[in-house]
Amino acid sequence: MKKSLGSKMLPYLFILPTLVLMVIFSYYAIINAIYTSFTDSVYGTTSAFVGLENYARAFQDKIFLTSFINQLLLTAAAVFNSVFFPLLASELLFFVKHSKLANIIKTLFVVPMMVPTIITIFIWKYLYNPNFGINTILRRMGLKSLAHNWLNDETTALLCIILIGFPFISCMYFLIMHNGLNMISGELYEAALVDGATPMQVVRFIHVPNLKPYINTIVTLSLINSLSGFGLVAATTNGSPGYSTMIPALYMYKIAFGDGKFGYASACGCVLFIVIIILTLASRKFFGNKEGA
Amino acid sequence: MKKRRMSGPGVFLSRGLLAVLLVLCFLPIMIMLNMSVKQHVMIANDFWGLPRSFYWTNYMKAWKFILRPIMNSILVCGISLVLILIVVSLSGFAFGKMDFKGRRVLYMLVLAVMMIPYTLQIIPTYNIVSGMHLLNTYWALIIPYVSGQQIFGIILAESFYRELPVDMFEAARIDGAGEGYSFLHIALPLSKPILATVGITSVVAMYNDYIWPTVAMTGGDEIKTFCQIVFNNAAGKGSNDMGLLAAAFVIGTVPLLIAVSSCMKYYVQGMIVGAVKG
Repeated sequence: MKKSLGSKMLPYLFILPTLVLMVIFSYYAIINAIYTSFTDSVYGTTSAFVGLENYARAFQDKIFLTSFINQLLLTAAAVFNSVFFPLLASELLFFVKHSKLANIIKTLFVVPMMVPTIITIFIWKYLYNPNFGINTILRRMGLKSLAHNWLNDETTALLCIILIGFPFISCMYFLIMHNGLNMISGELYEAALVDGATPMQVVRFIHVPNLKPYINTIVTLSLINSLSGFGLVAATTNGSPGYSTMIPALYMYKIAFGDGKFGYASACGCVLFIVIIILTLASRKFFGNKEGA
Repeated sequence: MKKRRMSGPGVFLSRGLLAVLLVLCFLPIMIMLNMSVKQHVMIANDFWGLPRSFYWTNYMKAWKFILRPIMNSILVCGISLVLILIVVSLSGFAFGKMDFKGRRVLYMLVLAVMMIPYTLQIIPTYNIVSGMHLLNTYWALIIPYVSGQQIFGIILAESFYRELPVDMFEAARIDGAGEGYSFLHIALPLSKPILATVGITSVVAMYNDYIWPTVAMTGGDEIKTFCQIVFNNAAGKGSNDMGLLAAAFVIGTVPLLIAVSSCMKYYVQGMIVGAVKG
């Protein structure tokens, strides 16, 4: 059957909007970013080619380099929290006998997700306030000496950022984990019960091994999320006090839109991009789930 | 399957832990609600205490200054949503059910976009939008949002359309229907659930964003979005009245609450499917 020219062109017409947007905002954008990183562009207006100067500068920039250590700590904590707490909650929920009750609790865990992230961060900032919040509780408990300006202290600022969102259950990772747990065949569980397994043994020897693909997915997702975002730090300490909570992405953002140094910021961005690619590929290799699993 | 053996202190301990976790999850919401009906001074002096009387003035005042940003957010999310659904359904169908030269290569190009981190795109996107003279307009948000959100959506829609039985479309073709007709009258009506999933995940992401608006909307307050206003406030710009702010937070949560709870099933599904595919 010979197709008319019109119907031959139809598929291209269908994907045209996608292609136009993708070519401009993804492919041109990334080429633009790489090109800009070799220039001394200021706010994207003036630009002269400066070769590798920006990269040489980035690798000597103490703030930029130490920001990777902060990022490492934040990411390690984020990955752990994204796996451990959702797993804990899913397991506790698994052993709730009434399926109706379990469903209600699951829904309740989802509700706080509907509060915009920035608001949750804001509320946590109130908790860390030097004059009230957590400090009020400490003072009442007679631990006055512990009370201090949490986010403005180099020793506690990063830890406080990590703890925002505790207990880290109202997030998509919980939904993934909970879903994964319910996908495990009931027969395995039945068999274990017949053999007289305790709940802890069920978790240890049946659930965790069978949840592996889900855990791996969560590790990869939370790794990428944590590496590429900087909204959390931007909204809490903005890198302060000093540079004790600075992370690479935020540093790039501040150089770009604070100082207007688009060229240098793009070089920092490209270095970060390469680091993200390497870590993502590494995590896919170690934790990667099989295609379409 | 129903018999889950647990007894004694174990049950008590695990139920207790579950209750504690649940309370901790709701703590920010409870603090927000409690603050929103207290006066600023009362919050500063007695942060954890319950209100002695409800100070509704917070809501009245908050409504006045937060309504505009919320409407901006809704407008941006609404227009973007419509465009995303159009783009996603067209491309998803083309990649999933149509046959054309270069399909595989083009689809690989779509998938590869997933690898580009958001951070690296901020500066060039600013350059592009600024070059189009769109900074400080709603389009400065809408166009990049559609461009960014479409990728995940196309991946979901492509696999949905691909798995639809071919017979359905064969029958239509024998009856003389073109591919355009098949798309509009067969595929599109069937894809409501997947489009709901794409739509709700996109809306949540767009409503929540405050980084890009802060870059692209530097002009007057009248076009800023809700989360941007809250973020600016966190950075020390704007009101210090905590009661007023908390009331504004509650009001600003409502649109997202309505959107998500009306599509709860699709939202949860989107998270899970998205994770497994991603």
